Amino acid sequence: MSLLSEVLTGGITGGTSIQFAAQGESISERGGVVNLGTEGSMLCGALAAYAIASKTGHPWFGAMAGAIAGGLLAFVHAYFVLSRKANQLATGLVVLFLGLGLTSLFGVDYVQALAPSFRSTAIPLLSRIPFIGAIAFKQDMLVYLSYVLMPLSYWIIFRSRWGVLLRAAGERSEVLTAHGHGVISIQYIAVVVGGMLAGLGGAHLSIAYTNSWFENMVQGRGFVAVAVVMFAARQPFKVAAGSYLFGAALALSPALQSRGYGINQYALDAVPYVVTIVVLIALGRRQSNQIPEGLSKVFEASIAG
Amino acid sequence: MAVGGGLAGIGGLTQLAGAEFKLRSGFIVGYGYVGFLASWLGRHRPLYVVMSALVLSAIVIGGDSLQIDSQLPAASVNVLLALVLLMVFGFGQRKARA
Repeated sequence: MSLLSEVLTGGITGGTSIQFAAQGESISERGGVVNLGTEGSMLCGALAAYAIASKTGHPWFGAMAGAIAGGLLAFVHAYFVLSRKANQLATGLVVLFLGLGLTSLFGVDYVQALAPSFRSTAIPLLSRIPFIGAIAFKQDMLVYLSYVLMPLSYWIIFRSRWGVLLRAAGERSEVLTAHGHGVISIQYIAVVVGGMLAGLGGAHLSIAYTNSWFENMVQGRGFVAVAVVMFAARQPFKVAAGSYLFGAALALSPALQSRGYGINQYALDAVPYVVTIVVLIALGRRQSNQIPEGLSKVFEASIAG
Repeated sequence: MAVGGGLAGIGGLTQLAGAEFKLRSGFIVGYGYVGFLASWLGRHRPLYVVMSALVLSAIVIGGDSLQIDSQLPAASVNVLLALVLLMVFGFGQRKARA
């Protein structure tokens, strides 16, 4: 395999978990709620998916369990932010610690366990396209699900009726209230759906990508997802591009090493972050006015204390 | 912001020079987030922040003895940390912030 196709294939495989989480986070942020606990939802999703897949023997049950676990943790965030009016940023971090603690507590039994994983299946016609076919269409089922998610997320946010309500909840919640819609209930759904997608992302990590469970296995991907969402201005397609870009930069390091380039390991570890930040800043300069107003209120309130 | 970053750097130095005595990658992961939460718990007032930082660090360090004494992973203590903070953020600050 050439270096380019190896990096691109790795980019899609490694970027998928981030993409799930980032799409979820964009839905949540469109509704005016930042969820810094995305990382926690991913961890819960990863452990639940691995545990259920190893108990039942079906990776699909695992994926469902991962989504449910991620959604449950996000519900905790939603309850404290929406019903108890706690600060979003602080609560998000606390929820992350909750997820980290719960998964290391209950995850001990599964470090050694074996679970069935998603195998890579080639899509009949598409996988025979030269170059692209081998990269994009010889992946596992969750990757294909994430391909569907991209346009679906766009459609939900920009074309569906619920998307209008969602964006209104994030931009001008007063208008929604005046029209007789429940802002809080829409935001609850947005946050929980966001958490479920993050859970699916975690599930992809544990039962498709690494096929193992270990403590704190998400290793910052949840925060990367949040950063990608902010730099990509919550646009589903840009969010997806940013996620795959990060994944590709992650795949660069092992690909270079297997070819015997003697580059400092720690310098290579920093490459994904540098590349993603630089590219997304370069692409997203003009979009500072696209932050939902409900969100900018959060940041202003946090600064004022 | 620059002052804040400088202070955070001193925090890293303290951990290096006072507790670990060696540089290994990833040794300080998560402490920054705990610091953020300590600042919230102390409502961003210096004296209160000192106290809340001591309380949080007691919980976090408690994780080590948890692992030694009862074979639970050290990170389990994060559950306790999170529950305490959720209660304070969710039910404690209503009057102060209204």
